[in-house]
Amino acid sequence: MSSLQSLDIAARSATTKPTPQARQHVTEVAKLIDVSSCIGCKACQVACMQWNDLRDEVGVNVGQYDNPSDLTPQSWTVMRYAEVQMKQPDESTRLEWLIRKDGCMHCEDPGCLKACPAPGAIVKYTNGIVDFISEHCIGCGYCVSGCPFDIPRISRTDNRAYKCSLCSDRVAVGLEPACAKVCPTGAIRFGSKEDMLEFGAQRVAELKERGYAQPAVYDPAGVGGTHVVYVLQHGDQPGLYNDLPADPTISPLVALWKGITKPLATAAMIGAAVVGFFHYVKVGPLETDETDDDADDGRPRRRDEDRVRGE
Amino acid sequence: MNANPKARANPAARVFKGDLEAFGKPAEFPYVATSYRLTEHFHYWTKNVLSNAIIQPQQFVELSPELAKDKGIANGDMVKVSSNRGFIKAVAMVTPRIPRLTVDGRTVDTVGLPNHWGFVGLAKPGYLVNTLTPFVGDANTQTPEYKSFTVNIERA
Repeated sequence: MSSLQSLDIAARSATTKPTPQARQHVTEVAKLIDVSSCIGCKACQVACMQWNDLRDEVGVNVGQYDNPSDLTPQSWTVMRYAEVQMKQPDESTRLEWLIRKDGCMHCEDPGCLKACPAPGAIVKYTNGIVDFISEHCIGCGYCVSGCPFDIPRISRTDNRAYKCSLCSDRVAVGLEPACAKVCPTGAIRFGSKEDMLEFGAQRVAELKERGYAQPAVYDPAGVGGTHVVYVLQHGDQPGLYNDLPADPTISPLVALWKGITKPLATAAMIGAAVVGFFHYVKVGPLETDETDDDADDGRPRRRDEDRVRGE
Repeated sequence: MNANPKARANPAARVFKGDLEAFGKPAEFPYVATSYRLTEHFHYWTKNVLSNAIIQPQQFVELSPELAKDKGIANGDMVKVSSNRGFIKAVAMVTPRIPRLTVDGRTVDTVGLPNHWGFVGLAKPGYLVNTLTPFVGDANTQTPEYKSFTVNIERA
């Protein structure tokens, strides 16, 4: 991905310089994934491969529908299938096939961007999309440890991190993401975040009418909300959906490293330079004379050592 | 004219003489099999299409956890499914979506056979499911009846 002219950047990794802010009217976007109307057809996976021109390996079947079986640098979205025996009000159980489209959640407070040490390798546009600018990526993998959803994958071919771009190139020219375009059941929708939350609330009300006890919109506050939101039939148990975290937060190590250690280390570095300067001004440079050399401390003199080595 | 307008389906099936002799007996082939399609593929065409091969790469058969336990089959094992007409080998997918049924007091296990793979294509090579199916035609239309027949399953 590269930076897109019509999208202003709200935040840029490892950069303190303010970014251009030409456009004031930008609305925040969101993709809504209604898990309750997903049929698991993987059309979204194919659309993602086609638009982004990605072709993963033809893998093997390991006893599950999930194929490719995990996100890879070539598979930016995968369907995750969970067969769950749900307890019913009358104590019987009912098999439910919970199918979640996994991929980047486009956090409002992106852990990957915070953790990234390469200037401009990760950006967040003013519309909320978090994008990897691959040419600036140094392949350190810090974004992987910074991500609360385990999304970025490092390519073994070019040592750069890849993930869903929310089709920022399509969105920049007024199109919806490829996955939303092809979804045959309308389970994937795209629009302003406000509209998506409103639609999500409608779906939640419908699911309640259909007898689900606690359907909910998944828009976790721990990462400031996300620009990919789910409608979950069992909103109280996101863990059922192949371990979707109930309360995702950025690893405290990122805050420790970038929030406290980094400024402290910078202060220590500057402090050392300042102290060194004043020490030089007050005391002057370190000087030696012959008497120092002749001082007998019981060890061979350094100059002798040098001479031996030089011969 | 329809002599029995209340009937919703023709209960008869048309079987030719040689095909009838190729039917298996329950003692040898005790499980019900049914063949079907997946959303990821279209018949035998899309095993030649890279995108489709990526999202559903290798042939599998589905069976219940109960049947898998009885036959010592673990999820992901290679299994051999055979009928009186031939056999296929595929990966076993053990799933509660194919439940063990009790029909008329008898335990009935089903083996599910998605039918999109073959010996050529970009997907992993597989076997033709229609090796197993019987030549039975609907009495009215002669549409092949591949949704219920009997097989055996074992670890390959």
